[in-house]
Amino acid sequence: MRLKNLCAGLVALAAAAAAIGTAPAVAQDKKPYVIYLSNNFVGNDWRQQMQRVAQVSVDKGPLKGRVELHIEVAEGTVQAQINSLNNIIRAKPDAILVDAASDSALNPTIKKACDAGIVVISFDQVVTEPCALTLASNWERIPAVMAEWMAVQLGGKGNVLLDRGLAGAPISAQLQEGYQKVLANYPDIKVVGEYNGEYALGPEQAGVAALLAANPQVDGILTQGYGSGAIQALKDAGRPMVPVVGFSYNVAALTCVESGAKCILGSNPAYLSSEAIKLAVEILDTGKKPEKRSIEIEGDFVTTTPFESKLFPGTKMQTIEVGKNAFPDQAPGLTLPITPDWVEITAAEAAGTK
Amino acid sequence: MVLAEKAPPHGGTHGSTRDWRGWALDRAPFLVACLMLLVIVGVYGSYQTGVFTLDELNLDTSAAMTLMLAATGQTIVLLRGGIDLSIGGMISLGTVIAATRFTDDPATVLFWSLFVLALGAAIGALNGLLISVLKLQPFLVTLATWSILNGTAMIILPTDGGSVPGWWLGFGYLTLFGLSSPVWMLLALLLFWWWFRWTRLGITIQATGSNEKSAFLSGVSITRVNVLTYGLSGLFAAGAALYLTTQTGAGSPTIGKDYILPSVAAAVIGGVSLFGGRGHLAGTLVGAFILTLIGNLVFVLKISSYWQPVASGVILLLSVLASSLAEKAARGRSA
Repeated sequence: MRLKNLCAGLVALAAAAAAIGTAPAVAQDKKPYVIYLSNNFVGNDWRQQMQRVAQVSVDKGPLKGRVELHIEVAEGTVQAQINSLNNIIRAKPDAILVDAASDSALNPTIKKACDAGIVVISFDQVVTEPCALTLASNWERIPAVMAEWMAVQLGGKGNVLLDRGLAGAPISAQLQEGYQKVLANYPDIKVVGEYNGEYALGPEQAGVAALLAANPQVDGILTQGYGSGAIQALKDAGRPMVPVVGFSYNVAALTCVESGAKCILGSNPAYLSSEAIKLAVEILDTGKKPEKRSIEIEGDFVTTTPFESKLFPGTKMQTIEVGKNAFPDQAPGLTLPITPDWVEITAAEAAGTK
Repeated sequence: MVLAEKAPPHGGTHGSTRDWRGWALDRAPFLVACLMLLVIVGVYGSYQTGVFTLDELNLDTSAAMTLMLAATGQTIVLLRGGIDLSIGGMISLGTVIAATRFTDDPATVLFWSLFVLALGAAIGALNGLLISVLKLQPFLVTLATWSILNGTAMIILPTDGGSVPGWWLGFGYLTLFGLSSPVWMLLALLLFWWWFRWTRLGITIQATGSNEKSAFLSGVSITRVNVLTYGLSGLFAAGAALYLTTQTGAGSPTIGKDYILPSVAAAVIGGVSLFGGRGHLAGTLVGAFILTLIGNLVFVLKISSYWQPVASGVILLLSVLASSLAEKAARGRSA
């Protein structure tokens, strides 16, 4: 009897001890994940917007209070990013997100982070080290859908101008080939001129202006940049507006609406950083990595004239509406769309004007 | 007279003609650099655990070694009164040659490593030759060779990539008596300097940097000095490239430019005069440590990383100020 009581007492004690033991574990679950974002460059609008939306997306919405985010900028050099990553690894964070200075030269350092049990996600400029996940826009889809849109607008027939981007840049070649591959399906669409737009308004406008002078009939322009430079060149030459393909900067969307040109603007959304944070939290919550190493983000196209893509069925299009997804009171270089669908980021927050 | 005045003032033979204030003034920039390093390490140590351990020394030296190697060559050139921008091109070219030619076979790695070192020395020597024979500014000659080497690197490997064997990446983690290989390299650099600056060549380089005319008048071949000075700089830049690939595991046709100005900054922070003849490698190495540790410090203080270049700039200014004051004082004494 006495022994039985003792046993019961011991069991109760054990249960109590177990309860005490689990209490801190619950508290630990609620502790925010420490996540470092290592960015190697802040010299353009996109990177700054990327950093700002990263912070906004952990300050509100479903990730509020779940993440302690630290952003480290590494002065644009590989050595600085290696040293910075080494410092980050020593701080033993739960996850590191890297917008990389080099796709390969950070690999040994990234491997070190993985070996230390840290979740590593490279986004935007990704790395080749297999232990790190990659998260980037689907660069095959963007030019294909836009070239398909152009063909639909032209009814499969017409003369177009093509932007080669920046000489020697891998992304330029990829976009140009992406356009050409789809246009090749339409034998009556002819590329009558190519220029180097260099992702800046000046070269785009000058390149298009020169080609307009040489070609009396131009029915469409496929830029790799703003598109608004091409529209300005059409205006200056007194030519009718033609369908224009470009990328989803605020100024491009506004110019399309003002000029009445039909446009489609592809997006490499700056909220890739927010998506990377969300992915990191999911991995940390579940303890499971996605099966595929590379994750592709499909930002909505921004367009005056939505269409159903046959090449990529289900591709989402946002119709440009000034004030709703294009913002006359915000910076021209703002990348659209501003926010992913799981958190509400405002244009002012993304532009840093609020 | 000028030779004796500007010769490395460490030896007792020269010390007898100087008072202790002169001794201290000569070393003022170096002492200021040491003081700054102490302060940085002190603050860093109070925020980060384990700063005063061998592990920390190993880690920081491994982070700073590429810059240290590049800055060693730059220091020799600065002491000669020149500047070498081409190290940027040489570092890029070295990494792309390594990353495209290395295989798992150690003999191949050895061959191409020696090739890169020889190439560095040869291109440096060519710099020296051009400067002497064509009587051109070192800045312009090395700017041109930088561009040529950079372009060559781009032709070999247009974007970052290539690979090196796994065991090559482990180089920085090799340890002996608790010290990692980069720390042994650091000691080797100091030993090299301790020996080199008293060699005939070492003394001649500093004398020529101090006053080219009187060096020439005392029978020094300026061409020979230039060829050897820039040759050494090229050699050290090639060494920096090889070491860098142990850190990055890849070649990069653009990475070298990131070391050109920091190599000059490290030397100047360590008290090496841009006008030649004055300074020590020990100072340069302290300078390289400072530039590397500022990054760590900014990180542990949890202040915005934008402060790192600001802090580097302020430290550079303080160093230049210290050097300038010391130089003025030195001139005051010799007048």
